[in-house]
Amino acid sequence: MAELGALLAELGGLVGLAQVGALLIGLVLGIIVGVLPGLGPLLGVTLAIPFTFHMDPVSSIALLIGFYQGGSYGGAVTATVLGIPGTPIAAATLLDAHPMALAGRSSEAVTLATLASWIGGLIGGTVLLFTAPALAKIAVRFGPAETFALAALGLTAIASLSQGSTLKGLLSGLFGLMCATIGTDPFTGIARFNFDRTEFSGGLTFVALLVGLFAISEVLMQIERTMRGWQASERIGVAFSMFRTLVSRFFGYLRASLVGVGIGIIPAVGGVTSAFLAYKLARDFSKEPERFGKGAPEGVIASEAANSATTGGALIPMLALGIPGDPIVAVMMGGLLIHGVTPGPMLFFTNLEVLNGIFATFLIGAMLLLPLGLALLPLFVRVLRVPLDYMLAGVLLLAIFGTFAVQRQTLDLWIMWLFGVVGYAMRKAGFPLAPLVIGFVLGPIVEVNLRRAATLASSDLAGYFLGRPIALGILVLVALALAFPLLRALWQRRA
Amino acid sequence: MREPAAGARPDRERETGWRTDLAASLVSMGLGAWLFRETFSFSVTASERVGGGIDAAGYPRLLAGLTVLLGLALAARALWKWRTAQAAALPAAEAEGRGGGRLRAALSFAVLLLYTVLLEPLGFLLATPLAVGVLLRITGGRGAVHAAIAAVAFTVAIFVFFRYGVNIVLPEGLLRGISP
Amino acid sequence: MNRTIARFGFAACAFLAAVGFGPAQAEFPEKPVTIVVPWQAGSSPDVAMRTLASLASDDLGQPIVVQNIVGGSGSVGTLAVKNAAADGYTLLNNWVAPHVVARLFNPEIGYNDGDFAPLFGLIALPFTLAVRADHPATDVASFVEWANAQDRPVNVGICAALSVPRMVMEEFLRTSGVENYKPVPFNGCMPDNVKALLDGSLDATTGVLIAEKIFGDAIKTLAVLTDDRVSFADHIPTAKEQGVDIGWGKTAQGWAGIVAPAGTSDAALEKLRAVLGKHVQTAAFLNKMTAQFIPIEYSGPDEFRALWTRSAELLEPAVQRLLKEKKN
Repeated sequence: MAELGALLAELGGLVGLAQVGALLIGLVLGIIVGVLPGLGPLLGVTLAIPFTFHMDPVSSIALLIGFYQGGSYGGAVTATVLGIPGTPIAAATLLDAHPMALAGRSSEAVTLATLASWIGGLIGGTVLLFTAPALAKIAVRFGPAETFALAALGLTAIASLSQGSTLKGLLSGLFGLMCATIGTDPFTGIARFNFDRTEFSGGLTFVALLVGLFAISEVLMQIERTMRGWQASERIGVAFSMFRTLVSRFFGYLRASLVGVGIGIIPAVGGVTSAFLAYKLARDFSKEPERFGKGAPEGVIASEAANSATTGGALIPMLALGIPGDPIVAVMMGGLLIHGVTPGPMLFFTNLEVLNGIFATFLIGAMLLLPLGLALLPLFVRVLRVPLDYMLAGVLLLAIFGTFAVQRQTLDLWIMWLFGVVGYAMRKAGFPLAPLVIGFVLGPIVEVNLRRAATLASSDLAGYFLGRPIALGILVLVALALAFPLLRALWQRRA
Repeated sequence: MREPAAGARPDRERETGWRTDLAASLVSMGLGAWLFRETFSFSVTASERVGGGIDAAGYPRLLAGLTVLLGLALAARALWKWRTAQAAALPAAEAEGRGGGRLRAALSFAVLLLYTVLLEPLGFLLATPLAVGVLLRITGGRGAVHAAIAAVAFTVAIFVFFRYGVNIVLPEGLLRGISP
Repeated sequence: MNRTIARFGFAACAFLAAVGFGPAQAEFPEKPVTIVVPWQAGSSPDVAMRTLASLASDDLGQPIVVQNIVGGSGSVGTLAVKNAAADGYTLLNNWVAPHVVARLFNPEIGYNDGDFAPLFGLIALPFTLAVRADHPATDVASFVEWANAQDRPVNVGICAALSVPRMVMEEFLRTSGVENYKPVPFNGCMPDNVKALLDGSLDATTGVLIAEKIFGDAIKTLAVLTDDRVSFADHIPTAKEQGVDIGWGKTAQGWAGIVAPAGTSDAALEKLRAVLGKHVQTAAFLNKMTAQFIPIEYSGPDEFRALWTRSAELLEPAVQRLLKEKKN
């Protein structure tokens, strides 16, 4: 325990005022995008990314972590007050938080959700702190063959394990990989798909692609839907009596947090699944399962602790292996790459101070969530009164000038609009967007490592992989991830 | 007791009809085929001494080929869906936004494209209030005066944020030399 | 709500009237100056420019903003500055790779020496030959002996396919008599190539000195591939001392400086040279650079321009050889 204290003190020393400031801004704005229906942590980090160009690496990741943590929590407020999830990950929270609000216990529900997010974040952060370095120590021995296999695993997992059609997921991932091949070949330096314009030799600008795909397509969808306002007039305060649940329902908090962090480590599964899984577990373990769905505090605790802990788990494979498991983490990885910080086992050699800064800001952010969430609650509820068209105009302007400011090229804006249309069309046609962005981020890693393996193998690539048991083992997992949806379908048919 | 039913989960696939899937498969195959052909225009001689078995064109060619194959599979599935289709009703995702909504989105998008064209020549301070004002009228149905005032406020806020917050000079356009 | 907006609107109009349409000032600079770095944020060049920007902004009277325009091995950023308005508000951190090498490989790249006005030369980055700590070789001679005793091509990391370090390394290997080697490209001299040393996929790599600092005992640097030892790493002998002299002098280093688009007014150039040139020679700047293992070699505008010409003459044959090899 004393050791942990010393470690925390050391981590704290790495973080200055600028970093904590960035973290606070991220948390507050993150909670606000989480609260606003239709926006969420993904949109938050997307809009924040351009501004990280003007910060140091730790501040920029602190800002993104703030958005991630705040955005994952903010949805719970909306779920309670309005009965619609502010973000998809609050969907399980809704099941009991809204009935509580209807029974006049909204302050209690929101306080519980804040407490649960707080505990979940702290447990997630602690597991992150201890697991990531251990995993990286193993991964530092991985050569190009293993790294290629890992990247392929991350990509097929997101395509096939996430909900929806595997075929469309794979196509989306392939499209992302192909977008990443535009520009100068990272291996030999020759021009590819440059359409005879030098501007393309740097490849598609990550920010333009990202903002177009997520922010612009979302705005278009929102404009298309019927415009409606929200009414939230209820006064909400802090119910301090709920702090007692920290003791009386300790195991409920702990169980859900561990489920959350465990699910978070697995690529592609994410906060929605972990929240529903923890919710189901809480109900199965409960002596009065019939109370669930009618305002059971345990339900709120389970869902919020789990989805909050998932954020910590999801960072583990990104930091230790360089493989992002969900789109938010992929965006954060892009944010690190912008600063020349390449996530993966080498981070532990080359950028130890950045890495420790990430751990420290994550834990500090998790701690700050409780006082911040409770103190600013009235502000967050009031955010729901901002007219929708103002909100959309604000998002658009930030998207446009955030993207423009990065390189001051109008071309980037055209790329952004193009991907806005692409994202809109993909949403309409039932294609998941997450594999595209993960494919784009992983693209250079997949290509460079595959081709480097081919260079080292000379002529016998298959033989080279066969001689490397770890790479081979990971490729078997890739095959399983591809076969999983088929097996699932067969199993469901039999059942 | 309310079961957290699968159908209520927000991350599930939007159900799409066979027409959409077929169109998507055609687009995928077309894109894959086009990129496959494009890879032959690279001057890959540079790859000979470095790059081994897979050269600078080989990798994108591999991806493009896979895209065509998966596109074919999607087409097959779309046709299968059509053969077994029972629901005559349009799936929710496609019914949504028919009519006014779609027009509104298209109009807004047109305004944004026009704005991008005008941004450099007119400059940020002139182009932005115009675009935002029109957008607020389209999306929020605001009155002219209200939209104009809000548009100026948005413009100034964004300008101040970028110019004095992050030291970025936004396009000056016509105001070059006299804008702050 | 509406009233607030109305009030804000009026304030905005007043603000525009007061600030926006006031009389134009005359003294350079009257708005932020941007230095374009053609490499990623966080890279050594970026660190150097950001350090300079933070030190010199106050003196210049306007903020100096560093902007990373990456791609095309640095040529995208270089081209962007060539095309920028020659008003002194857009500067370039020019590097030998895009400035000279990329142009030799592709004469139609769209810029040449005449498109830029030098402020000064600033950085000279030496390259090294590095192996893993447990490698049997201890110096250049034993490395050459070891390499020639292998019955397979030796895997040697080169920083990038078309780069100065690659040409320096290949020239070094040829001069020292290593025949059977396979160049393996990376995206830069750090850190992926060092990781490849550690995981065993490379036998040796072209490196930079900062790898010494970061990886410490995990790797061994056998030689610096320049004429003189480097002040902050003077325990590492040069290849020349060990009997392998490729004779390229300063051109065997990755050099960089700061330039403005040609046509920038002399007044602006003088002001920038005076202010920035002063700050790159202060102890505050030099200490920070030494801590980052970035070797600073200041040279005036004329000397710097002469280095461009010399590099182009020396590298031309190496580039032609590579181009010819590719055609075969």
